[in-house]
Amino acid sequence: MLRQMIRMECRKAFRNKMFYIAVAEGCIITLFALVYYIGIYQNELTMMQADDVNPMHEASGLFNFWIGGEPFSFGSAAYFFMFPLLTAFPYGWSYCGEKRSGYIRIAVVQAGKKAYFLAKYTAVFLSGALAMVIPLVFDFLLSALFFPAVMPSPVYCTSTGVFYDSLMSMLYYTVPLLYVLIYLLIDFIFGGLIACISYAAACFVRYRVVAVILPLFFMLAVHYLRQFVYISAEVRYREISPMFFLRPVQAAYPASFAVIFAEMAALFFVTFFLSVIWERKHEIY
Amino acid sequence: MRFIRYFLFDLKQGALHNKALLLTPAAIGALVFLDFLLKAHRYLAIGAIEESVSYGDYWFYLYGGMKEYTPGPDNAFSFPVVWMIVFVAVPFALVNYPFRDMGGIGQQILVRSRSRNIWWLSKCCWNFVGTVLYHLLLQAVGAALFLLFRMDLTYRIHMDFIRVVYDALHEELWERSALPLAMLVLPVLVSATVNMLQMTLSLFVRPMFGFFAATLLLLASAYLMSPVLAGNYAMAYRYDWMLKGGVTGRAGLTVAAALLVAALLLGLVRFHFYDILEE
Repeated sequence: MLRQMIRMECRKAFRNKMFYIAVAEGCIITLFALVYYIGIYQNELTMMQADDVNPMHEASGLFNFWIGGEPFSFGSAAYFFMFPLLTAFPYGWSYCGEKRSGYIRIAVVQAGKKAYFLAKYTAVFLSGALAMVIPLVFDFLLSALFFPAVMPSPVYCTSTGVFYDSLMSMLYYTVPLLYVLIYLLIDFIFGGLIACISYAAACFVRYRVVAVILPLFFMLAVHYLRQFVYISAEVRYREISPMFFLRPVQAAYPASFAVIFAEMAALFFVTFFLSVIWERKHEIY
Repeated sequence: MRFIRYFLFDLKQGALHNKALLLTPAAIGALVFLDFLLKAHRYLAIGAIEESVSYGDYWFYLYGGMKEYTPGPDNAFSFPVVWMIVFVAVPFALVNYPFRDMGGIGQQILVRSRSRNIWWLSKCCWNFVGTVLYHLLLQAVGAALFLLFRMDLTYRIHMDFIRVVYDALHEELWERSALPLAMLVLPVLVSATVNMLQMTLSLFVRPMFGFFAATLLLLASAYLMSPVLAGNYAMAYRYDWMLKGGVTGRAGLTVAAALLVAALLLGLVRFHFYDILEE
């Protein structure tokens, strides 16, 4: 029954207009970054042809010109700011809607509470994760049509934005594709968990729009914590804001696996507890 | 007369009974005050500023925004988190009520009123008053905390504090000592405009996408200093009063008022054909 329920919830999550709209919005935002970088790259090519200077091929390639590889185009800034909304749009609102419409009562009678809540969590997670990653993959593949996949060199670390203490910097300068894939995996998991915040929020709020917007405020609150944590200019802190560490490039402080896994675990336990364990014990009639 | 009755109803239901609208500015005001206070103490301790801060500095900390961003590999974009929270929280607090009011009893009222125009105009006024209320509360919380901590409750500003907070170069700012009262109005007006745009846009697409667009507009304004992007007029740091070559207050008033009226009129026309039963 659980498998059937998961299949049904996933079908509902992936075959709805909101999922397509969220993915399309994400892809459109990434296009801003792509267009910006095509301009920069063409400019560089023109300069290279005009002057007989070091072409610095390693400083301008696919791995630092795709949306995840640069922290300063509007596309990149907008994508890594709006992603909490983009991940919640596809299916984060569904539990709110089903509670209000009474659908949950029919579903629980048919499948049982455990199967329903677990299936819902899985579907929300997967829809958010895919809404986060599809635009990034789209941009990476599209960028690959325009920029050469040159192996980045640490000599140009100021251009690539990956420094000696950046997360997986060794991998970036040796197997950059694997570096990108690992980051996409991290973004996939985080995207899913952030979407689950709206599912967990739906246990307390009645309106879909509120449930969908809350993950953005949660992320902003975590980001604001930086103001209280990063108080010394001398200390080299680790990045705590997902709005920065989910970028495959260092935007401020270097990311660390310890922080990423700790936040992942915290998000998973809180959202899973609230939406599956805590909510299951509540009366649905 | 009917309009006033509707407006008072909206004010009561959508503003005075709206917990999000009342609690959010209180929470944000207190949190930002704490952050502001800790920062001011830290700067004072290391000698980055000469004297203790005043309420004008707190106001500037809330509404300052960020300096002009110049994209470059060595300059990653870091959005102004305080300013974003302050301005994104209002559309969030106001996003739901008009659409909630289209169902249930609200729908009955709308049908029996026989005038969609009055209903929409009442919502526009509610939106404006709600925004003003939010900003008043935000500033009142700060003022109350200033009183509580016996700090300087004047609109004096300290340029050394502003320079440190915004990482500003000495030559790019004018030397100022106090905030002019006229300047306090513009961020609130721009905020009301953004909210009105969101409400109007929500008649065309779902409210969550209206919120998405409003947030994107604010982010774009932070990213690009341009007189076309209305959010720039909500950043006190970017006014030509403070920043040499900044945006002018007069242009800000014109743009904000024009957008506000345009959103109101567009919404009026759209709402005339809006299918309320579908909601």
